[in-house]
Amino acid sequence: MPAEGIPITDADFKEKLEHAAGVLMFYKKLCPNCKALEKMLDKFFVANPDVPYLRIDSEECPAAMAAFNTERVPTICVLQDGKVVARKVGLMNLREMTEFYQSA
Amino acid sequence: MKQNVIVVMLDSLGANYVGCYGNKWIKTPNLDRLAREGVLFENNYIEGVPTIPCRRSMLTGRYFLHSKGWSALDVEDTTIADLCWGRPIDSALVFDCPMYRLPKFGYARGYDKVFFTHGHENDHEYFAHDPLLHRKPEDFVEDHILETADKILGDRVVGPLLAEMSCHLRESQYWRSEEDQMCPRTMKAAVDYLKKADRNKQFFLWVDSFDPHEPWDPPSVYDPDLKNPYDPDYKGKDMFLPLMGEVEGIFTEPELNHIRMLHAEKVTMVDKWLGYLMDQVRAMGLEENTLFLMVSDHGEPLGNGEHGHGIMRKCRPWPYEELVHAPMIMKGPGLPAGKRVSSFTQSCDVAPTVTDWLGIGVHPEHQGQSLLPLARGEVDKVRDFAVAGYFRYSASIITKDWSFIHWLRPDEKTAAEARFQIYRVGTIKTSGHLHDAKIMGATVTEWQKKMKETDFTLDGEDQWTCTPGSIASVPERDQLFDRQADPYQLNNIAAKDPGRASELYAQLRDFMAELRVS
Repeated sequence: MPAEGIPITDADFKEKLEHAAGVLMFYKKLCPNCKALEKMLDKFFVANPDVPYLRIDSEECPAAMAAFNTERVPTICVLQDGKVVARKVGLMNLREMTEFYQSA
Repeated sequence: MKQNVIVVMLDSLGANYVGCYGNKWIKTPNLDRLAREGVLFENNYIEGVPTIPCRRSMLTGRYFLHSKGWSALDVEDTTIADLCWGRPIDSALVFDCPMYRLPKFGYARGYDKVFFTHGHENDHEYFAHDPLLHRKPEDFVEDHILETADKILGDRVVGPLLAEMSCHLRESQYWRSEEDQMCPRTMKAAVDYLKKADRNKQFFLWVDSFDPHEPWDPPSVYDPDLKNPYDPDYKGKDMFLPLMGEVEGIFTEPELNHIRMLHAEKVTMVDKWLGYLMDQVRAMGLEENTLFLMVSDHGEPLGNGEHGHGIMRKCRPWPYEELVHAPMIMKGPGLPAGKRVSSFTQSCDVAPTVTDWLGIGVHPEHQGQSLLPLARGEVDKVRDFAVAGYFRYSASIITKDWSFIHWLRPDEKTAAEARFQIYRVGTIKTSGHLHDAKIMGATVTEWQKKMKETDFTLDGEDQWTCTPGSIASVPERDQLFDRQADPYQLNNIAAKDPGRASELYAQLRDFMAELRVS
C-alpha cells in the first residue's frame, strides 16, 4: 500500500510546518529517483506508522524549496518542532533511511 | 547424496578469447569440452568491473554497480562462505589472486580452509628483494616505447612499469617448466584439497586463478626452445607486461598483435590446466554429485577497434563488450549437456546458483537468480537485460538488440587519474597502518600524499537527483550501439536514433535507482 503523505504547498507550508515533526520529502512528479525513493518510503512508513509523512512538489512550490534551501530532489528532511534536524539529498535504502531517521 | 560445488574463476578471460564462444582460431579444448558436457551462458555480463567489484557481486549475489567499487568486503556483505557456516559444508578458497588479501579487504573471510600462492600483481613486491640474475625488464619493452612513452602519455609510466616487471622477473627466473607458473600451481593445490576433502560431508571449493591476467608470460616467453603458437614468426620483444594506456603513438600494430597472441597463449595454457582439474575431478568420482562452474571477472582491452577501443589493459572505466562480456559454463549431474542458454546472466547469479545447489537455497539478500532452473529448461530467461559498468564512472544497459553506455563523468582526465580512482582509493583507505609497505611501487605514505593532491572524493551522489523543471535528456557523451550489427560497439548511433537512446537511458536510470534503494 503506497504511503500517501500529507501534501504541503507554498500557500500553507509556513503554517503547517511551523511546529511540525516527521519526515518531509521534496520530490518531482517525473523524477525516476523520486519514484524509487517513494517505493522505499512505503516500506519505511509501514514499519513506522506513527511518523508523519509530509510531501512538497518541488515544481509547484518554489517558495517552500527556497525557504528550506533546497535545490535538488529528492531531498528528505527530518523535522522536529518545525526545525530541520537532518537532511539527505539523493537516495537511501531502507536500512540507511532507518538509521538516518533514528540518528536525527 | 552430498552435493558439492567447485567454482573456477579464470581472471581476465573475455568471451572473445574462448573457442566455444565463437573464437575460430584460439585453442581452448577444455573449455569447449566443458561446454559440450554442460550448459554455456551466451550472454553473461559482469555488472561491476573490474576484479574486486565483480568478486563481491559473485560472492554475495548482489549488484554493486550503484554503490561500491574497489573496496573492502563489508561486515554487512553476506558471502557464500558465510552462508555455509553452521552447516555440514566445508568451504575452501584456493587462490593466487592477490586482491582478496589487499590490506583489510578480507575477501578470504569465512572459508574453513584458505591456500594462497604468492606473486601475482599487487603481491609482486613479495619478490622485490630477491636478486635478479641474467635478465632485465628492458629486454621485454621495445626501445622506442622506453624512449617516448613518458612524453606521449605524460604520466611518468615507464619507471613504475619497469619496477613491476623487475619484480616479476625476479619471481619467474626460478621457473623451470610450465608447472611452476601460477595457474598450474593453483590448480594442483585445488586437487590437493579435493583429495583430502571429507566425502561424508559437502564441500564448496572456490578456485581463483589470476591467470590469464597479465603478465602475459606463457612458456614461449622464457623457454628458448618454444615459439608463440599464434605468432611464431614475430621478431620483436615479448612485451609480457605492456604499458597501460592509449595505444596510439605507443605501439605498432604488429606489436599489438603479438601482445594479444601472448595473452592467447596464456589462455591456452590456463585452459590446459583447467582440463587437468576437470580430469582429476572425474578420476576422483566427484562428477556424480558436484556442480562445476567456470566463471571469469572480465575480458581485456588489447588495442584498437574491437580489441580494446584504443587502449591497452584496464586503464579507463570503459565497459565495452571486450571487457564486460565474460564466459560462464556450468556442468553438473542432472543438467543438460551441450546446452546453450541465450538469457542474460550476471555476476550476481553466481552466489544464488551455488547456494541453491548446496541445498542452502537462495538467500533473501540475493538479488541475482539461481541459474539451475534456467539450465534445466524450467524457465527460458532470468532477466530481460543486463547492466555493466564501473562504479561512479559508467553504467551501461545491454538488451537483445541494443547496448547503451551512460557516462557519469565528462571524462576520465588522465589515465593515471583513472587508474588511481579505480584501483587505489579503497586500498589506500584501508592500509593507512602500513606506512612503509609498498603497493604498485610506491609506499602507502606516498600514495596517501598523491590522494590528497587529486580529486578523489568523487561521491557521485548527484546522479540520484535532479532539479525542478529539468528534462532528462540523454547526455552528449552517452553512446548507443546496434548490438546485432555492431556487437563490439564501434559505431555510436545515439545521434541517429535519439528516441531509442532516450528510452534506454530511462530504463537504465530506473533500474539503477531501484538498486540504490534496495
